[in-house]
Amino acid sequence: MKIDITRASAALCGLGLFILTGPAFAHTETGASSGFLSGFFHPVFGVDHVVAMVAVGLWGAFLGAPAIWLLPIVFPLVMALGGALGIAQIELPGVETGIALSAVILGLCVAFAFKPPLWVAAIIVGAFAIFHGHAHGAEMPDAANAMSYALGFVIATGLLHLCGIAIGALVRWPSGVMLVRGAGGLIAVAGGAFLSGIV
Amino acid sequence: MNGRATTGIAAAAILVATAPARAHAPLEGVGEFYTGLLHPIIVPAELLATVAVGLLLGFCGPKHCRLGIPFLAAGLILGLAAGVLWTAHGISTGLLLGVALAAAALVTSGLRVRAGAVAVLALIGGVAVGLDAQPDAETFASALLAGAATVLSVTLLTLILAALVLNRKKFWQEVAVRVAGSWITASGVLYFTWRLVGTSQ
Repeated sequence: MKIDITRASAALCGLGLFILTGPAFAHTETGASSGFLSGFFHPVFGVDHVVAMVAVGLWGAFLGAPAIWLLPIVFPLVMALGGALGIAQIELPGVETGIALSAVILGLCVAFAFKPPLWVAAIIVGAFAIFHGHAHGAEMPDAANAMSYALGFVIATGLLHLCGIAIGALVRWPSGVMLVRGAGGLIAVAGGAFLSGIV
Repeated sequence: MNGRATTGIAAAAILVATAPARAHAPLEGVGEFYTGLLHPIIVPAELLATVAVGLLLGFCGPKHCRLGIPFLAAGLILGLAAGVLWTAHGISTGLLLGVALAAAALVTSGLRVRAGAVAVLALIGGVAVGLDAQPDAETFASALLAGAATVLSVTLLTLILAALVLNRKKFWQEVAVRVAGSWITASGVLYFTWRLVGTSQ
């Protein structure tokens, strides 16, 4: 049998190229690590989430103990309930508005050094946590490892609170108070921009 | 370059480009001992339950640790042994989640519970991890080695965590433990909901 060498090499080159191609990841990767990273980056890549989470930490630091540790504990717990509603695909009206409004209200609370009783602060923070949780839960990718995703977004949220608390620790100095209140004002402005649809 | 040379180069390129065939998961390449050792650390539900029990034992005090750690180890052995006779994959995940939620909620709320109750929770946690971390070994000796490594891994991790929490002296350390508890509770609630409704959608 006579084989056409040019055709054979062309076929082999074609096969070689076929083998060398990498897989196309058109969907979210599966597995524990991809689920964790997917969950971790969900709040981090949403600027509206970031500013609101930082505001919770700032306000907690501004209010002092026990709010400094109680608010960051209340938030993830209530957020999980909101996330459960989102996972169950139970519609919640005005989720995006609620998230933007959380930045406005929490930013204003910091900017005006609003110091309500602890239970009032916990209710304000908890009410907004439902909207944030719903958004994370509803947007949970089907392919992600659910447990890792949940851990990822809860840890990311907690670390953002920690960033706020760290910045809020500046309130022990008079100039730091102005800085923290200024940061609160900026967060409120950013929230207003999200609310009005400018950003 | 003539045709034969081109064909030869193309054939060699294909040979070089082939990837190794992996018949098993990458973890299995590390041997039975390390598979058993790493299993509770890389499976999120097992890790969550282990961390929650460790936090609770350390949070409650030395008396609870002295009782809880042996109960946990006994539970692990029971779970691993029961898994040989009975496959309980779905149940073990539910148990893991229940133990993680209960332990983390107790830490978050700061409630003090009796040493006996904590020991029972540790025992159930051990059984759940043992059932979930069933070694996929071909021989009994390999399964025994992997199982022993799992018992060692979970017991050591819990012991270290409990010791760290027991040694908390500063206020922020107390807060950090309770915050960790709230994170585990929140993650557990979300996963529980997902298991209930998310998978059916």
